Amino acid sequence: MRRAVLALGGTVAGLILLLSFRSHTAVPAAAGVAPSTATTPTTPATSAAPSTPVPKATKTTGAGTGTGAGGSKVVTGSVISSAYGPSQVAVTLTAGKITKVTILQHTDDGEMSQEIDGPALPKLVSETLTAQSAQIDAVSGASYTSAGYIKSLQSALDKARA
Amino acid sequence: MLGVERRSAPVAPPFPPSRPAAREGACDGAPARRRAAPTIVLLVITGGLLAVLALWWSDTPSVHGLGDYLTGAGRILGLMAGYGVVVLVALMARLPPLERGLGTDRLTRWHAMGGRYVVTIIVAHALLITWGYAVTAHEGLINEAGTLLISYPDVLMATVAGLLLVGIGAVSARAARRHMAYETWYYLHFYTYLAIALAFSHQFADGASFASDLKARIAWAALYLLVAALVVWYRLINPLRNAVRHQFRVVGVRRESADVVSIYIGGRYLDELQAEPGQFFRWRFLSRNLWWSSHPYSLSALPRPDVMRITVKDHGDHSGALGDLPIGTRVVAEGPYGTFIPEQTGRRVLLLAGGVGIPPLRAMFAMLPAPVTLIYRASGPGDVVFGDELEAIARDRGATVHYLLGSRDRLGRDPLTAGQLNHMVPGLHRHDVYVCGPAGMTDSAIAALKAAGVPRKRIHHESFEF
Amino acid sequence: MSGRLGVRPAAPAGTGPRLRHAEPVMGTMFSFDLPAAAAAVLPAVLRWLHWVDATFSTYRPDSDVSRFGRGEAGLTDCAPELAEVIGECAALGERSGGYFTDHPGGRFDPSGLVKGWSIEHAAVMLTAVGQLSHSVNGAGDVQCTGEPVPGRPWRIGIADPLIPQALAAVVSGRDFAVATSGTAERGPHIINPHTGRPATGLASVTVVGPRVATADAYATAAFAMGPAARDWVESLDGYEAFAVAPDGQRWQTSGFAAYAAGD
Repeated sequence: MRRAVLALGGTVAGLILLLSFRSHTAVPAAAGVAPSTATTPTTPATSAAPSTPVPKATKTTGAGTGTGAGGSKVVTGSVISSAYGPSQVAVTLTAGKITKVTILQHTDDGEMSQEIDGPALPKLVSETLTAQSAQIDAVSGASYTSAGYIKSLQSALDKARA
Repeated sequence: MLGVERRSAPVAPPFPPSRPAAREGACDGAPARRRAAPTIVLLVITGGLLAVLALWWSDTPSVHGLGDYLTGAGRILGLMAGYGVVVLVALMARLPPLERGLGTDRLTRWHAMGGRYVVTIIVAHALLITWGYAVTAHEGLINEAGTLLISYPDVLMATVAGLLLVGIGAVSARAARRHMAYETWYYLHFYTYLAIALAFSHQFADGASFASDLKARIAWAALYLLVAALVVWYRLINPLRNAVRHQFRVVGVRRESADVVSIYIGGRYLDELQAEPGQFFRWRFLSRNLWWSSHPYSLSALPRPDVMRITVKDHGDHSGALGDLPIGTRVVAEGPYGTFIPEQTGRRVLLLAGGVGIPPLRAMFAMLPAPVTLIYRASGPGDVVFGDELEAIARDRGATVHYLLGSRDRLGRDPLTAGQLNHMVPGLHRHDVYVCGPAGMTDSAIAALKAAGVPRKRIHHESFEF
Repeated sequence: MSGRLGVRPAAPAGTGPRLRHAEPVMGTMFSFDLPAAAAAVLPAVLRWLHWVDATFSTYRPDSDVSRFGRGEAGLTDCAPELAEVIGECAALGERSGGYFTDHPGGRFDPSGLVKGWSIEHAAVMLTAVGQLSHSVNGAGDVQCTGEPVPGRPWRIGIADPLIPQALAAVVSGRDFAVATSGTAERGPHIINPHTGRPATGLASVTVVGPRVATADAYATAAFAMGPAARDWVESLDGYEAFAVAPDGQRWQTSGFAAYAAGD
């Protein structure tokens, strides 16, 4: 009985020692400030600010037409695979409206571009991945808004692999 | 069922009493080595434990908040338990250096103590992890437990394993074992292997120290594989190899008294085993009733190159059937085990036997140089075995036998007192004493010997908890 | 989420179906990549991110940051995390020679750190409940933990700032972070604190290292520094950089090759 008390007491003491030595944020040689893992925060339900309801496994929708400010802007869309090989679409926006679509086709003959006007506008298929991105798990890029996210490769990954 | 002729005594007497001392001139410092071995083994075990704790240390940048503390404690205990079960299995793997260095009885005691400790920390690990996760995720304990069981990989199996170990721990308690046959307990205990197998995968799937650390996974798996290989070799393959080499067979069965029977096991090259008086083997008799269990019994006479003898009391399912063993039954014998071996110190020797403890002391009695005294404690004259042999040995070797008969209840007192011992054995405090008997008797005998002035380090006894 | 009731072969974390969740918060999108079985623990993390949004948003006049910035609330009136963030900003500012700052143009705005800090904390919350395989991507800064699939590391593409939908490089690792600063979508929004004008020396710079909050701050500072960032990141321990110049030329620090996964 005495041995049991000693063993369990020693274990508890050892645990407390080990944990308390690690409870000060370890300063790795790398960053000068080790980001603390933070005390557990209060639940945000008490905050007054309205919060969006938590959606389950959101799938972002929408074609990737760019929203431009005034003036003309050309946006190049995703590469689409078709029976003729990969093709890419460049879209010209004027005052927020798509005015011209150029299809860049890469065939064995070299690049050909074909222009399409007016109503026959192909939809930009946002879930198509480039050959490169098919092998990656996530994309790091310059900061985007929620709307900008839609056009990004990351959104394509989230949709295609959800 | 058996219908085989039983010889009542194969050769009389089978073991000449005047055999020279087996270990004459064999003073090689072995006792000192044996004393150092427990410390070395403990150091190795502790070293492994420190390595395991270092693994946790290197994986844990910092601990903040109640949830982290709880989870951290749970993780440390989990790592310790995963290591602990490997150590426990290794202790029981019948590794020759451990058996020789520590002795089976000490290994068994360590395993029992360690087993209780490991089962306790496994339970604590499960509770602390659940609690810690619950705090961090702001969930209730029941919800968190449910989440863990259902959606974390392999946790359900690990929980079954933990419950299995708790159950095995419970039935291994002395109180429980008193009410069950040895064989039942023995086979229940094998479920520990199943528990270890069930729990293994969750260590890698859920263990933060392993999930993305390939080197740690390799080292851990290598440790488990190593111990598994040792168990297979020393507990399965080696006994079979020995059985084939030595061709153990039952060559004779003799009833010694109403409830005691001697079995003679013959074979070839038995001297290669180098069995010493006081040692035991684990015997598996390959008869229809007995092939599935193995039991430890001490040699009750000095081994010859062609025959060994054990003497067993009829009780329990196993021993009861021994009296009916057919001649020629094959035997698988593992051993020799045990460190209950007389040392050559030049001092006089007292052998103190109680009831079932007589066989190893009878073996020692036949080879110790005079003057040696044997005190044989038994409930009554009908319980004395080897009476003729002991008389013959005493006569031929100039030794002395004292019989102390009468159960304690009927006598109203314990005849084994310090005073009585000093009276029977002049110069007792300068003797080396070897004690063997049922637990109660050995405890009171040792107390009496100490009271009579025998230094503790000169009192040798072997006590098993099987 | 399916229960595992049968005995099945041992499988480390990461096998089995994966869950991807995109959560709009803080004006941007946080993407999660987790084992499907972790769906139960995600809501707590998402709740916390929304709390950070409410507390630290400079676009909400009633947030702790706004009130503190106006002087209406002292540090003790605000969430303790604010003090933590301010402390880290100060240390990082010192380390970057002022190129990273929580008061760009004189206003109090710790947003540069808050995003990375919240990504990192979200990842830590997941780890703390035993999830060992996840990546959290907040507006293009990623913190990866463990392995997405047993036996291989995370592969993170770095967007090419000059060619939309293309990748400039791919890095791989197990417990690491990738943070990129650049012009791209919002236009030149990173101001050089020393000149007060938009930083234009680089098209984008990516910093790779153990922790995303630090990597994010370093990337922001490096972008503001322009070409001088190369020597500065070279001098930092444990963090490496890869940059694309406006003319398409690239450079990287000497340790970056260890992360480069190739295609």
